Amino acid sequence: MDDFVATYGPLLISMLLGAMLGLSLYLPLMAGQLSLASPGFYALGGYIAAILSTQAFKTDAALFPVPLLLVEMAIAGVVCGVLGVLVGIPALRLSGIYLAIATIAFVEILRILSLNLEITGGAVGIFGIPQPFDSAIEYLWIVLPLLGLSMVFVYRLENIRVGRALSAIREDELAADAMGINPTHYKVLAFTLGAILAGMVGAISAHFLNTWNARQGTFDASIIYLTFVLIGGSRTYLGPVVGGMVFTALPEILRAAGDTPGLPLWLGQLLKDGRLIIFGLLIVLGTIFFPQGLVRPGVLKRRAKGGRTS
Amino acid sequence: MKKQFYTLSLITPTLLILAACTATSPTTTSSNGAKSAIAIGIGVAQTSNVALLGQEQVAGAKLAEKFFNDNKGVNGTPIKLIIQDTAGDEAGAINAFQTLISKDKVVGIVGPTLSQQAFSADPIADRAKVPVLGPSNTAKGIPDIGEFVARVSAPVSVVAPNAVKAALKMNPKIKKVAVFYAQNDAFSKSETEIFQKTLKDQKLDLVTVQKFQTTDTDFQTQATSAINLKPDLVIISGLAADGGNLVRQMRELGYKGLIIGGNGLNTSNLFPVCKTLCDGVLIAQAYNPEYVSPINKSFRDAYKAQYKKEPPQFSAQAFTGVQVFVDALNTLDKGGKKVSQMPLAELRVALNQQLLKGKYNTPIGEISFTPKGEIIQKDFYVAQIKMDTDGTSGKFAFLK
Amino acid sequence: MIAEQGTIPVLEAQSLTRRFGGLVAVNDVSFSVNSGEIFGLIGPNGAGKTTLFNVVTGLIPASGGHLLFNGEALLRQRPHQIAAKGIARTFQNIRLFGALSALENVMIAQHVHTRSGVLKGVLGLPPAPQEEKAIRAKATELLELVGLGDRTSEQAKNFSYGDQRRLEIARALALNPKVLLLDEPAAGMNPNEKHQLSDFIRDLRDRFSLTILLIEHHVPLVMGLCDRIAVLDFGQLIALGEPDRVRTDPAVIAAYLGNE
Repeated sequence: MDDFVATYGPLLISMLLGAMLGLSLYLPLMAGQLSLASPGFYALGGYIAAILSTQAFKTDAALFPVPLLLVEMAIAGVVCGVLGVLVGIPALRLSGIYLAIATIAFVEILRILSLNLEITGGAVGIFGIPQPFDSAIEYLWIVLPLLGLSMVFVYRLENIRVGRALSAIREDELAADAMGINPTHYKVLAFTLGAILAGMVGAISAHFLNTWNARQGTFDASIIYLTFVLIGGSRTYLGPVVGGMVFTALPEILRAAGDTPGLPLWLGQLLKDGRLIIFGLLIVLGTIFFPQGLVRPGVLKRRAKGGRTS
Repeated sequence: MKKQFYTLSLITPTLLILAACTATSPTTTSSNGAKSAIAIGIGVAQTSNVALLGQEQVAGAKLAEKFFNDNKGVNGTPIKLIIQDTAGDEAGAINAFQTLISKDKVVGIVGPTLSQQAFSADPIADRAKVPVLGPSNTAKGIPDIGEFVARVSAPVSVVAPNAVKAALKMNPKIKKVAVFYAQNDAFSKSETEIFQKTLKDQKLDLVTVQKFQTTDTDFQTQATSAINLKPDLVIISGLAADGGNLVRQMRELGYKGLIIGGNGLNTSNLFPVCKTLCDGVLIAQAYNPEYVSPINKSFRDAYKAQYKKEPPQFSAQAFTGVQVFVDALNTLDKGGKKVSQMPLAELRVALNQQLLKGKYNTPIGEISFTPKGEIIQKDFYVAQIKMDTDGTSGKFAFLK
Repeated sequence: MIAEQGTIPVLEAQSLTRRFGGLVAVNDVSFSVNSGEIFGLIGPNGAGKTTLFNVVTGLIPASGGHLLFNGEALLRQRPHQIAAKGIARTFQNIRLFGALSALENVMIAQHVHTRSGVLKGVLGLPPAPQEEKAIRAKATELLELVGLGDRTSEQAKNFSYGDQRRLEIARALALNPKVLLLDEPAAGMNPNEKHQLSDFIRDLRDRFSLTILLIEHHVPLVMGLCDRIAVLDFGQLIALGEPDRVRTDPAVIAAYLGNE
C-alpha cells in the first residue's frame, strides 16, 4: 500500500491540480466567455512562488514552511487577480473566438517574457524550488482543501445573485444588460476569479514540480484545460473537476495500458505513442455527441432522483 | 449534492486503480530475466517531441544491458533494464521516476532526457536516496541538485569551445563572428552563452547576435542582417529542423564561410533539412564512434549490426550511464558484501558512493566524477558534416 | 409637445434620430409619454418601432436628438443603467435565459434591487440570505400573477410561445419599473388570449402604477387598449393622438391601414 501511494501520489496530486485548472477555465465560461488565459496565470503564479521561495523566503529548515507556501499562494492570487482585471477589461470587449485568440496571445506574451527575463531564468527556468513536504502525497494537505474550497465556492456561486448574473450573461448578454446587469463588470469578475484560482494552483505546482520554466502554461496547456471543461462538462462545476482528473490521468493510464501483456504490438504502440491521437479523437467525438460535456446538470439530477426513489 | 460528491469520490480511486492494474508489466527486454536480476531504471522520453532523442537513448541502454549480461552481469547476477516513459514534460518525468523508485524498485536511474525534466524529477530521486545518472542533461547546475545526482553528459561549457578552436585551426584569419540561437530552447540559450564567452576569450569580434524560435521556418530577416555584416564564422544554437533551415537559408543567401552548429544540430535528422548545403558544418562532440577502445568497438559493432549506421552520441551516453552502474555494482560486489543480498535502501546509497569514486573506460572515453557528480571526461572531438553529392545522406567526419 | 394639461411627461423624445448607414430608421421623432398612460406605437413592418425601443433602452445608441426620463437625459447611458432607472422591456423575438428556470429568470431581473457580492453571497452573510429570500418570494408572486405559478422550476426554453411572452412580462416587472416597454405582446396569441391580454395590461398599469409603451400589429387591440397612439412610417412620426383621431387620420389610412 505504501508503494502504491508513493507510486501514484504524484499522479493523484496532478489530477487534483488539473481539476482546479479546469475550474479556473470554467469560471469565465459561467459568463459564457471562452477564455484560454488560465495557463498564463498558472505560469505567472508558478513564477511568483518559484522566485519567492528561492530568493526571498530563504530558510535553513529541511522543509519549506507551509505557512510561507500559503503566503506565496495568496500573493500569486492577488497578483493574478490584479492582472486579471487589467487584462480582462480590454480583452472582454471581445467575444467568442476573438476572445479566445486574444487570451492565447496573452499566454504567448507571458511565455516570451519569461523566456527573456533574467528573473525568470530564461529558457532554463528556475530550479531547486524548496519542498514543503517529504513526499508527493503530502501535497494533499494543501491541494485537497483548496480543491474542496474552490468546488464549494463555485457551487455556491452558481446559486447566488452574482452567479445568476453570470448565467444570465451566458444565456443572453443583451437581455441581461436590459435587465440591469452590467455585463462588463461581471465578465471581468468571472475572468478575474479564474485568474486567481489559476495563479494559486501555479504556486503549488511550482513546488510540486521542483522547477518552473517557460514550458509551463503554454498554448498546448490551454487546449488541454479546454478539454477538461468541454468534455468534462461546461454546465456544472463538477464537469471540469471530473474532466480535469480524468484527462490528467488518461495519458498515464493509456501509457500503462499499452504495456499490457498479450496486446498486439500495433495496439500497444498506439496506446503508448498514439495517446495524443486518442486524446484528440475523444475531443472530436465528445464535442459531437456530448456538446455540453459528459457531466451535465440533467444527468446528475436524474441520477440523484433515481437514487432517492430506489 | 451528496450523491454528486459521492460519485466524485469514487472516480479518483477508480482511475488510480485502473492505472495501477494496467501498469502490471513495465517494458523489460531482459533475455535472461531471472528473478534475482538487478533492476536498473531507464526514465527517458519515448513519446512526445523529444522522443527521437529518447529512443536513441533506449537503444544505447538496451545494447548495454545485452553486452553486460553477456559478460557475466554483476559477478554472475544479470541486470534487468526497466524502462518508463517520461514523455517530454516535467510531470511525466516525475511520474516515471516515482514509478521506477517505488514500484519497480530499481537500484539507480539513467535519465531523464531534458535538463528541465532533470530539475523536476532528479530531486524526487535525491530525496528517495536513489542514484541518478543524467545521460543528456547538459545544463548548468544539474550535479548540484543533490548528492545522488550525477551525469555522464559533459556540460556545454566544456564541449562547445572545442568547435570554435577547431574552426580557428581550419581558418586562422577568422575575425568577425555572427551568433544565432533559438531563444525558446533552454539548451540553445545556455549553449549560446558559452559560445559567446568562448569568442570573447579567443578575442574574436562578435558582430551580431540573432534570435529565432525553434518553430520558425523562415530565417531570411536574421540571415540577411547577419550576412550584411560580413562574418567569417557563423555559430548556430538550435534544434535540427530550425537549425537545418537556417543553415540552408544562410547558404542560399550566399554565405560562404564556416558554420558551427550547436549540440541540437548534432543529429543525422539535420541532413534531410539542409541536404547538400549541410556540408561543412562543424559540430563539437562528446563522443566519437571512431574512438579506439575495446568497449567502444563492442558498442559500435553491436549498434551498427542492429541499426546499420554509426551510433549517435545519445546512444553512447546512455550506454555509458548503464555501464557506470554495472561497473560500480561489480566493484561493490567484489568489495565484500553481495549486492544481491543487500537491502535495497542500503544498496542504493552504497552504489551512489561507489560510482562517484570509480574510473570507467566507456565508449565515450575514460571518465570519472567529481565528488559532486560532475563528469570528468578526457577527450572531446569535432566532426564536420560530409554530405553525398545527391544530398540524401551524409555523415559526421571526425577531425583529427 | 402634446402634453395634456396637468400631466407630467415621464418619457420625452426630442428629434430622436437613428441612422444605419444611409437608412434612417428613426427620423426626427418627437413625442412625450405621460405618467400612467398606455401609449401605443404602430406602423408597418420596418417602420422603425423596435429600433425606437432599442434606442430608448440603450441597446442601440441614437444618432441625434434627445431623450428625457423624468427630465433626466437617457442617451449615452448603458442599457443596464437605463434599466436600473426603471425602464423595463420585453422583446419582439423573446429573449429569455433559456437554460434557466422560470424562477431564475425572474429572480435575475431583481439584480439592481439587491447588493450582495461574491463574498457575502458565497459565505451566506447578511444581507445575502435575506435578499435571496425576498427576491425568491417576489419572483414566485410575479410568476403567479402571470399564471405560471405552478411551473417555476421548468426551463424557460421549454415553455410555449405564449407562456414565454408571459414569463418575459413577469421578468420585466421584477425590475420594479416605472415604464414598461412591451414589444408585440400579442404576437402568436389567439383572439381570446388577445382579449384577455388587453385586460391584463390595463390591470398591470393600475396595480404597479406603470406607464406602458406598446408596439403592436393587431390594430383592434391597440385601438381598444391605448390612451394615445403614435404612428411611424419609414422612421417618421406621421400621426400622434387618441385612437379615434389616429383612426381617421388620412395619412395613417394611406400609409398604414391601407397597407394592411
